[in-house]
Amino acid sequence: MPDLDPVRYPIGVFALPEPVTAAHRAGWTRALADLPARLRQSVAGLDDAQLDTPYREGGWTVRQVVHHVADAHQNLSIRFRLALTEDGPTVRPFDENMWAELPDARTFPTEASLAVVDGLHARLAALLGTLGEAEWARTFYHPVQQKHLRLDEIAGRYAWHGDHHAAQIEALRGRMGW
Amino acid sequence: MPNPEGERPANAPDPRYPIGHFEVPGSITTAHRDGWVGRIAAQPERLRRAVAGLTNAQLDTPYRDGGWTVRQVVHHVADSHLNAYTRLRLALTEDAPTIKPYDEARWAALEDARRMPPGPSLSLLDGLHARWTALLETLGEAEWARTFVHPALGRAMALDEAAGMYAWHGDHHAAHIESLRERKGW
Repeated sequence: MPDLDPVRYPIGVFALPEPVTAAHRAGWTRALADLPARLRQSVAGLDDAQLDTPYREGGWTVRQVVHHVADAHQNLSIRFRLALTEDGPTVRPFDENMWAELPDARTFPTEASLAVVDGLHARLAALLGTLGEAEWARTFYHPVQQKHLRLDEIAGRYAWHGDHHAAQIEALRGRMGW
Repeated sequence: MPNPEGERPANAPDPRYPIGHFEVPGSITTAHRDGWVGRIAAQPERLRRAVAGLTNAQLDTPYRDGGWTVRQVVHHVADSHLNAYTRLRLALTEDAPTIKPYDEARWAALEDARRMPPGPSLSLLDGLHARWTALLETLGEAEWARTFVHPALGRAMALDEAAGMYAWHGDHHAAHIESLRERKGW
């Protein structure tokens, strides 16, 4: 197994537990509910120069990371709702690197995306809290991964994804003494 | 005299369309685009004001007979505009992408859309519209002409037409709530 770059993967990669239990789902739902505060805390007090610092050499800036989380999790919310309202829908992938290079993602204050994540995750966590076994087992099809993904696995992956990016910023602040 | 079928008299305004339908101007000018961007920018505040001070019972009132509740309207605007913003970004990063439609009636029937306070969707819209309008303001002629394909529409839609449609869409739903409050004296 190749060594992971710890700067790029401060919390490692997502490992899908087998089997997924109600406790896993509850933990992932809680992590998604807690992400807005963690992400907000991770950038609190940073000035523009700090926000424009790549979290690793050649990587996205702190600002781009925050906007990326908002963009990715908007797509998560859309995919979740599609899977709950259609049978095994094929979702629309997006090019995360090109999205992170759009002007608003490169230059806009982080507050707008923090507000999106606040509201988005409040709704998503409330929705997840209502799902029964049958809903957690619903799927969507990801055409790039060429896989049918269950909603509980997706909740786990995105709980990881939000924490992963918050940890990149937290680790940068730790290394820089910010 | 009330109609036995409960239909509106022919001269009564249709409560579904308080600001009429969106009409695409024959030729879209910079002034149209600026006006639409301005309306999109103003919508979070307009929607927030539209629901300010409403009680839970009022939020659970359909804006018209058989229609969505006020609460569902607010969550629908958030869900719809998330999709709009995603389509804009797809169109700017891919060539005439085909986008994924969604079933708005079923989305509005999901638990969080039926029951949650409007606050989270209002916060989402604050941030989303700030980024959306910031991005729209950077577009040049070539970008405004970029398109996406909505499979149900069966044709490519340019980004300027889409901006006009969503400027209408957000105002349309805010007006649903505003006109309900006026009719009810809330």
